[in-house]
Parts: sequence; structure tokens; C-alpha cells
Amino acid sequence: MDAVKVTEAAPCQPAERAPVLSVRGLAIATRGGVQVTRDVSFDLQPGERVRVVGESGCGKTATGLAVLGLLPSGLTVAGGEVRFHGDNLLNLPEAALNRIRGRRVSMIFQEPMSALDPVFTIGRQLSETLRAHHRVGPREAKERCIDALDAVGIPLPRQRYDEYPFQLSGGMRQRAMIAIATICQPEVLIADEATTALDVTIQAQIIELLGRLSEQHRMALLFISHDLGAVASACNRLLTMYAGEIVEDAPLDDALLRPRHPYTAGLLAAIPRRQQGSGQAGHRLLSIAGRVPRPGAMPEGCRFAPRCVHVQPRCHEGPVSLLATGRGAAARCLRIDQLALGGVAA
Amino acid sequence: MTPALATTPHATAPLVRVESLAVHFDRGRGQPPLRAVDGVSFDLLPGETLGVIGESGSGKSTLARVVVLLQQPSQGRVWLAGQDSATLAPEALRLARRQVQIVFQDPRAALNPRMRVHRLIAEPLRIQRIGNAASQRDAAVELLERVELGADFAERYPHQLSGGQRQRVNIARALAVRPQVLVCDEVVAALDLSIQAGILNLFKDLQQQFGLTTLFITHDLGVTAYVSSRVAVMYLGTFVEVGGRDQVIDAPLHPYTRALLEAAPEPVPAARRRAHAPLQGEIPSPVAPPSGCRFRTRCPLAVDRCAAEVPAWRELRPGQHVACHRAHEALDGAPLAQRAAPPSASP
Repeated sequence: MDAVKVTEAAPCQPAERAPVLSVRGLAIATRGGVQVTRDVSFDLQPGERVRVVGESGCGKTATGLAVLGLLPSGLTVAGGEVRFHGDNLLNLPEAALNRIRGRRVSMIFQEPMSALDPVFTIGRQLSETLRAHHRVGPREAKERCIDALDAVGIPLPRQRYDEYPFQLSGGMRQRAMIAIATICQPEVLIADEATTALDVTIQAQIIELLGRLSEQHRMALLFISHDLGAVASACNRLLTMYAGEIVEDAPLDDALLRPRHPYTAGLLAAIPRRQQGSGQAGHRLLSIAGRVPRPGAMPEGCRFAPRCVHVQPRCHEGPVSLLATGRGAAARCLRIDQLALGGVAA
Repeated sequence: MTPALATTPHATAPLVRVESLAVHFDRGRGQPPLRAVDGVSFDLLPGETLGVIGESGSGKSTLARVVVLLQQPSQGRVWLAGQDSATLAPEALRLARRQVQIVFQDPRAALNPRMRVHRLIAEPLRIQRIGNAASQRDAAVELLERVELGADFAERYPHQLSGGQRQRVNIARALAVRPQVLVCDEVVAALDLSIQAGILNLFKDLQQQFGLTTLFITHDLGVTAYVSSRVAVMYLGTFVEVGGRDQVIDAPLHPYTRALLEAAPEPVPAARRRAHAPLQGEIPSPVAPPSGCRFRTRCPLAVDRCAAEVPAWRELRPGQHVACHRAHEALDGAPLAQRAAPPSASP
């Protein structure tokens, strides 16, 4: 019934592991043709949990939205592929895409109050999603929705089912969002700044919940956040984005302890941490001078070069491609073999 | 009544003394008031930075507004340099405000979009009638240098600035009247990490240059640890632990502080492995705070006594005060054991 037409041959990656989602050379541009992201490529394995970090304006959210074909009207995909089990989502007709969105690939957003519809009950919004994708009668749907609310740790789920979003706290709203996004047990969940607006204790609860859901259902998680300190615990790989490009892709612990791109290292050095006598008067955080270039005003060569403390003349010469750094990792830096960058000390 | 924090005698007189402070917001006929701040006492000593951490709804921002005299207390007193703020006549109150200035969280909302940067920075000088137009402008330009923006920014409008630059303008404006005390309410919460680092460094520099005493309010433990010399932990309108930075951050005694530290995101792989499940539940409503200890509904250590009796302040280490019946167990290294199931979980 849900046979999605295979539009092209199998993915080009060697098939030792079959990624559930494979993004290749994704380029996003404005309608006016100004490039927003370029050459964004990454794979998500089943059950894998990937962090995407970078400052505001680096293209993280646009990438997440493009995967689901949800780019706002001002932006458009200018090239590349988003393969879900081999099918290029970018070429699928809307009807086929609708069978995947919300059911097999799902997304949660930063502000649950604006993502939830204020005039419908939580239960109605949950069952709407469920019944859009599955043939279930109203009574069974209600029971499954209540189970879903229970599974995301909402107390008194039967009562909450009939409540409206304004009756829930911020943390509970985010749980309700997660229940809606995961009620069809998707294979991929994209979480865009899903914990940013929450308090640390609530943040920890939500991260634990997402990690648990990912483990239980082998759900791949793409966790987008500008805050490097947060949600590290739930993930195993780190993608660093800068100015519309992926500049580092590495196993999480490697990226944190031995970052290979100066931008990743710069973000790590900027985190105020409670160890290492950080309260002493002499201790200073390292900030990255300057700011992210605007789309349309990208530097010629390495896009990070104007802010990089390790810059050399050749960095300005031309675009830098992602270079392998071993162990399945890569960094977009000409000097990967020369730099010994500091990560977070254990 | 929440007991007041015993104030130890100090060698120097405090710049700010807050005594049994309560702020209750009226919620209309027959409704119980919202107890935003409910019994807070502390001293702010010259030169120190007191970091206040807590979750949303703990009353941090209301506390900040009281200290800068933007909010009337319902009970208790706020002393500024030995003067009871409640007794000040309007003119004396205006002068008193020179001593305490505030920087808010949202750098955009805090700046009038129709005013140029130099006028924004000089506005407190006009209100306080310090100098004339020319000297006020000079002062604004000098302050722009001090916050590392430079004179080029004087003629710009807020919309021409980035978030970090706007927050620097807010800081410059707060410093214009040369306050002794600066209150910072979540001043870096809206900024990207790399920008945040620059602002925090600037704070440390300015503290030294201006000899500032600071009340630094934030929900971010890393930020608190970076800027504070003393730390107060706030929960549902009250302080639960106050102590030196190293004491509270490295050797916390209150179960809430310990849970906060465990929940705080840590990039270090080893530190990420959590010993316990995260703190369960959410902060209760300040309209009907729990009896006894306010944290007991989420506390993994709660016993019957915690519901019956408001915990008294105890100084368990020199300078480290804590309001918890079982805090002394932490001195012996007792773990923060999680209860089997949170009380509010599924029926």
C-alpha cells in the first residue's frame, strides 16, 4: 500500500551499512539565487544520533527543513539529493512525500507553543497525525494517543488528552510535540533546537526521553542546536556547520577531545565551564572574533578564514573541500595535518 | 514563613542588603497571590559578584527588579548603601538609582529603535542631569570605547547592530552613571556561544576597571561559575543554598543544587556519563507552593519531615549556608539517590 516508487538506482555509498537517510551535495538558495548552503552531505544510520552545531545563520535549520521538503517560500533546493532508503525525497510527488513526512521522517521544533495549534486539544492533534497515516478507528486511536502521551512522560495522559496547549507547561508542551512527532514510530526524527528554550533540568529530561525513544525504536536522530554544551550526552556524532557548509564531521568524542577544524575548536573554547578554576580573575574565555558571513557575501576561499586564528595566505585562494581525517571523519580545512587544536580537557 | 538567611557580620558594610524580601503579585478577587519571591535575604558586598541561578519561575528576575527599585516589595526591605529604599523621597530615590543599574536579557527590546546609539547611552545622564549635551556625548563615545565598539557606532541605530553589539550598548548605558552595583538579568541568554564568550570576558574586564559589584542572574551554571565569586541557588521564590563559588559549584550540599549540576550540559565525554536519572517533574506553581521545603515534591531525598517543617538555614561549611533537613548527609558523601518512580508519573 505504501510502496514508494524507487526513482533512481541505489545510493552511491558502498553498502557496508545502509543509511536510513543520506544527504548528498545539498545546496539551498534563495529565490533570488543567493546560495545559503552548499555541498552538505551526511548519512544517518538506523538508530544513530547526530548533533549539528554552529552559530545562528549557518544553515542548520534550512538543512533540516529541506530534508522534509518544508523550506519556507523564500528558499529553494538548488541541487543535491536527500535519499531516504534510497529514494530521493526531493523528487517525490507531494502525495508520496506526505506518506513519509510525519510517519517515517518527523520533526520537532524549538517553540512548541507555535508548533502546536492553540485551538485544538492535544488529543485531537495527536490522533490527526496518527489517522493521517494509519487506518485506525477513533476509539483505538484515542487509546494509542494516550499511550503515546504516557510514553513521553506526561502525567495523567487521559486528562491531558482533552486539554489545550495553553494548559500545559513549556516542558509538557515539548513532550506533547515529541508524542505527535513519534506516534507513528518514525525512522528519522529531526529535532531543531528542541531543548533550547527549556530549563536545564527539563532539558535533561527531554534529552533522556529522545535518547530512549531512539534506542527503543532504532530511530535515527538529527539533533540541531547552536549550543554545543547541551545535548552532547544523547549523541554519538557531531556535524559542525559554518556559513552554509559542513566543516567537520566526526565521532562526538573525537570532535570534542581533538577537534580538527578551527571553528569547532573555537566553539569549544567559548563554552563557559565550571571546572578548571574558571572563576579566577585571570581566566578568560576564547571568543571567535567577527561574525558569520551573510549569504551572498561569502569569502572566496575558506569561509572561516576571515575569523580563523590559524589562517595562512593559501586559505584565501579557493574553496576548500571536506578532507578525510581518518576514522570516518572529515574536516574542511587545508591545515588539518599541521594543526594540533585543543578540545575540551577531560 | 521562610526563615531569613542568617547574615554574618562583615568587615565591610554591604552595598545592598536585602532583608526577608517577598514580592506577591495580586491575581484578582478571591485568588491567592502569586508568590514570586517569598522570603529572600542576602548581602551584596563591595567588589563581589553574586551569581543567582535557578529555573524559570524561581523568581530571579523579580528579585533583580526589586534590587534596582523597579519593583516594590510586598514585605521586607532593600537597603542601598545603608539607606532603606522604602523611606526615600522621590528625589532621593532618583539619586539612589545612580547606584544600581541593570542590563536585561533581550538586547533588542531594551533599546528604543528610534534613538541613535550615543543618545541611548547618554539617556541616563540626561535623566540624572549629569553634565551638558556635549559632555554627555563625549561620555557616550568614551563608553563605546570601553565596551570595545568604538566611536564609529555612535550614530548608528539599534537595527544596524548585531545581538552582541546591542548588548554592549546596553552595558555601556548601564555604566553611564557610574553605578556601584550592576544587576545583570540573563544578559547572555539570547546570544550565540561565541558572542556570549566575548560579552562575559568584557564583563570581567569592566568589573575590574569600574570596581563593580554585581548581581549576576542566569540559568546557566557554566556562566555562573565563570563570573561569580559567590553563588546563590534559587528555587520557587526562595534561596536554598548560598556559598562561595567553589563551595557551591564544586561541593554543593542542597539536593537541588546537586541535581542542577548533574543536569547541566557538559561537553566533556567523561563528565557526561550521568550517575543518576535527571531530576523528575517540574517547578510547582508559585501560587500554591508546597508546604515545608518547597523542593520536596521533586527531591530524591525527601522524607516526611520535609513536608511538615520548613528547613532552617544552616551554615554547614564556613560561608556555605543551606536550607535542607538532609544537607549534612552530603558532607559525608551520601549519594543523591533517585526514588524508584517520580510521585507524579502515570497512575
